[in-house]
Amino acid sequence: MENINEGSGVKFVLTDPPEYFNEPNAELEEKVAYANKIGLGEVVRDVKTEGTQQVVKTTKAAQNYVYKTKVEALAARKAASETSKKSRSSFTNRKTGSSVVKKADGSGVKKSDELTQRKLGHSLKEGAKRGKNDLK
Amino acid sequence: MEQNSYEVKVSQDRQQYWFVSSGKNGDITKVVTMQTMKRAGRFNLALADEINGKLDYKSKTDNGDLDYVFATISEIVIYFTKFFPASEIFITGNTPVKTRLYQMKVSNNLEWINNEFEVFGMTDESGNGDFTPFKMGINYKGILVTRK
Repeated sequence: MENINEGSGVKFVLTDPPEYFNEPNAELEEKVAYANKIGLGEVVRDVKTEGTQQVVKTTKAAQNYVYKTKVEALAARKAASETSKKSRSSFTNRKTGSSVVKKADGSGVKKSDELTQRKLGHSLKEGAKRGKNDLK
Repeated sequence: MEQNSYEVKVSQDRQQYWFVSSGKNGDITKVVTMQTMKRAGRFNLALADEINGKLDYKSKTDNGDLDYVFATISEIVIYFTKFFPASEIFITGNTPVKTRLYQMKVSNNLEWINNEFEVFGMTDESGNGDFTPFKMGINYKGILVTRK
C-alpha cells in the first residue's frame, strides 16, 4: 500500500481495488454506451455571437470536419436530385410511350414497338437454337 | 475547493476510486470509475454506490453529505488529470435530475474550477452536439472538463 498526499490535502491511498470492480456490470455498460452516444462531439473553444446569428470558430480539425460534412451533404443532395430526375424521365417514357428511338436508316420507331421487336427476335433465335439441339 | 472531502482509495491504473460517505444513513462506499470512451483521451466519469458487494449506478443515497461527496469527486478529477493532463472528463447523469445537479455544482464553483480547468457544456443529445464553453443558465445534457 502506498500513500500519496496531493497538494489539495486530500489523502489518496494507492491500493488494489475490491473484487466488485472486476465483475461485469450491465448498468456500467449502459452508462458508457450512453456516454459514447452523446458525448463524442468536438470541443469548440471560441464562440462569438453576432446579432441573432451565432458564429462558431472552431479548431482546425473541427473546421475540416464541418467542411467535410457540408461537402458530403451537398454531394449527397446532388446525387439524390440526379437519381430523382432520371427516375422521373424514365417513368414518363414508360407511361406515355412517346419516346422515339432513331434507327440507323433515320426512321423513327416507338420505343415500345422496338422493345416488342427485340423480344420477338430474341424468342425466334432461342427457338432456332432449341430446334438445332433437338436435331442433334 | 474549500469544502472538506473524504480520504480516497485509488487503483494502480488510477481509473478506479472509492471512498466512504458518512451521513444520516450510515456509511456508504461511493465508487468513481473513469471509463475510457470511443474518443481518444476522453473519459466518462461514472459514479456508483457499493451495495452488498455489487456496484449500483442508479441508486439514490441521500446521505446528507452531498457537498462532501462532490468535493471528493472534484479532488478525484484533479488527481486524475494530474496523471493524465491531456484527458477530457465527460460528466452526465443517468437521469435529467442528476445531470442538473452536476451542472448546478459546476455553476456554484465555476470561478474556482476555471482557475485550473476549462469547462464545456453540450445541449444536443442526438450525438451531433459540440461542446461549447460552459455558461450558467443553460440546460446542458453533458459537461466536459479538461485541464488548462
